[in-house]
Amino acid sequence: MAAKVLIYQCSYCSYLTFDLLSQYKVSLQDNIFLTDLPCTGTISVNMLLEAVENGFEKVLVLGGTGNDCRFLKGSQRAQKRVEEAVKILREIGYDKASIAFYGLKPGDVDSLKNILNTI
Amino acid sequence: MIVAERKPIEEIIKMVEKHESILVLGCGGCVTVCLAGGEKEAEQLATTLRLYFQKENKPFKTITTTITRQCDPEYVKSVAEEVAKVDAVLSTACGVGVQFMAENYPGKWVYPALNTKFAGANLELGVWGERCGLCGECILHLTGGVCPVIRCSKSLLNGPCGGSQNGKCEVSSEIDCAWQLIYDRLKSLNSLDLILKIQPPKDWSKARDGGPRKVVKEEVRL
Repeated sequence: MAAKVLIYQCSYCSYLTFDLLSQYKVSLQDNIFLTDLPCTGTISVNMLLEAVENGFEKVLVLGGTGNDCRFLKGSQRAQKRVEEAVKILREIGYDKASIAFYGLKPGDVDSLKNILNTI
Repeated sequence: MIVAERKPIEEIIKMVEKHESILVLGCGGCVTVCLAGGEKEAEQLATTLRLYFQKENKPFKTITTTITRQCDPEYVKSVAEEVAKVDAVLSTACGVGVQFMAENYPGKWVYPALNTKFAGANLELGVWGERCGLCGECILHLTGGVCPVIRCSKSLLNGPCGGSQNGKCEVSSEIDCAWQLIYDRLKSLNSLDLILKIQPPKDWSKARDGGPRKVVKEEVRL
């Protein structure tokens, strides 16, 4: 059975990119769950840990790149929280799941396809 | 505010591992402001512990709630129902809150999830600095608002010492010399005469040396 994957995506940076995927006839697998956030900077460490607790083996946060964040520092905040969540999993020796942040330029379908290929 | 930080997770796990259910009790006071033990941090700690025990295949349940303050009886007593449902309480309050919970729930273990560090201020996002030594006899009016008791590494009342170099303390180049700060401040206030006054030895009986302290305000007592 394929690992359950949860993707938290920024409504501005990666939503559009996911939308464009359909033009490339790429469809998401059933094991991938997408959740939109108005800004990835709203994500908390606990949201990431709870996703792991609820059985997601991979939790991805897709925000913008350094200069493209609509809310200036939302992606940077998200990245920091992902780092903290990863640190906590390491501290408790939990290796059955991974959490990662990816920065995407809006419309960068190739990078998104690369990310999806690594899942 | 009282500034605290979470204990290492291994230390917390060792405290609670003999229990099967705990109440992770957040505090809405100082530790919420210093991002150590408020609602968010309590939830995060509870999830972390559940994940750890899930990995270990050990039964472990948490209840998480946050009260306005753990240092006031009316709030502490409001969680009696939750406390009754669990084996132990893991408090994310400062040492005051942990002790106050323990005093109010004598039959229940109350563990500290935080190390209480100092009375301080928020210097910038995510950075807190010590500002008050809680010595019981404030002399900030004599030192331009800079406390030599806590901001001078040696707590000198008649400083600086010979270790002050270019405005920094010999203990660490990251520490400002409190007496340099006092000098600069008094100079800007045109009150340098104050620095020439010799301070007598401090009465430390008003600080911790006199044993645990108590403040009583008779006018509000019934």
